[in-house]
Amino acid sequence: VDHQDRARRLEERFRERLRKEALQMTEMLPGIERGDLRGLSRLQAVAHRMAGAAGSFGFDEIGIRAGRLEEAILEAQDPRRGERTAGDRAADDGTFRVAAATRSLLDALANADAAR
Amino acid sequence: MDDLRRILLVEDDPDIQELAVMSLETVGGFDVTACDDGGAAVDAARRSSPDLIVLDWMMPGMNGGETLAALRRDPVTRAVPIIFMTAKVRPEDVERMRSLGALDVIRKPFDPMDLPQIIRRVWRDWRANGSLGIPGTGATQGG
Repeated sequence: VDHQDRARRLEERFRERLRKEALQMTEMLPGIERGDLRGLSRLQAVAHRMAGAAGSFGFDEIGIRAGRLEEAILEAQDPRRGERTAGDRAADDGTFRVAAATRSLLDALANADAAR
Repeated sequence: MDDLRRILLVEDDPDIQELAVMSLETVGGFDVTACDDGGAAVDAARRSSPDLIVLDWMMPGMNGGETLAALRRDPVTRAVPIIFMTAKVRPEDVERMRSLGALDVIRKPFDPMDLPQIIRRVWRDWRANGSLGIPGTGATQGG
């Protein structure tokens, strides 16, 4: 029973963390959509930790989308990374993909919260 | 062969650290010491003489590679085998970690019900081969 209580407390703490991180991302999204990439390192750190942790707590879809967001950020910071063609790179400066991946992750976070 | 008892877990994410400790203690039956950065890991490894260190790659301050190097420089800790844990998924990242002499690389996220079994399997493979830095066959998916 102690272990079950501990697991429940830990899961609730993680859910609370996801809520806070969703709020942070929501606040950052308008800036990213305007092409302001100054907060990308912080967003990448959040996405990286979420990608590594969410699946262990049963939030597989959040983990997958967080991984996509991290990859989009890394590609925006280093356009040579990834499989994109020269045409892809010319079509945007990376902000579109980061914003889209952020919105996708926020959708998954909202769905997980709503599913409680 | 299954002489793995004491594990030092180095993980800066407090939720993942607690989940991994719970998994390794409760499911795996290991004696676990945990810390959250590379400097503390070197101190803890000197104090607790672990059989194995499970080391996160991306941490503030010293990353996993730098922590491994610090452990290898210290005569007290240089022979302790190390498994990396990482959310990095690119094969070149994993290969780089393995080339530093880690027994294996466990990818996060891990399934807490499977983590002890994965670690035991890596340990047994290493013991069967009898030396540090035996290249694995690929990063081990964490459950």
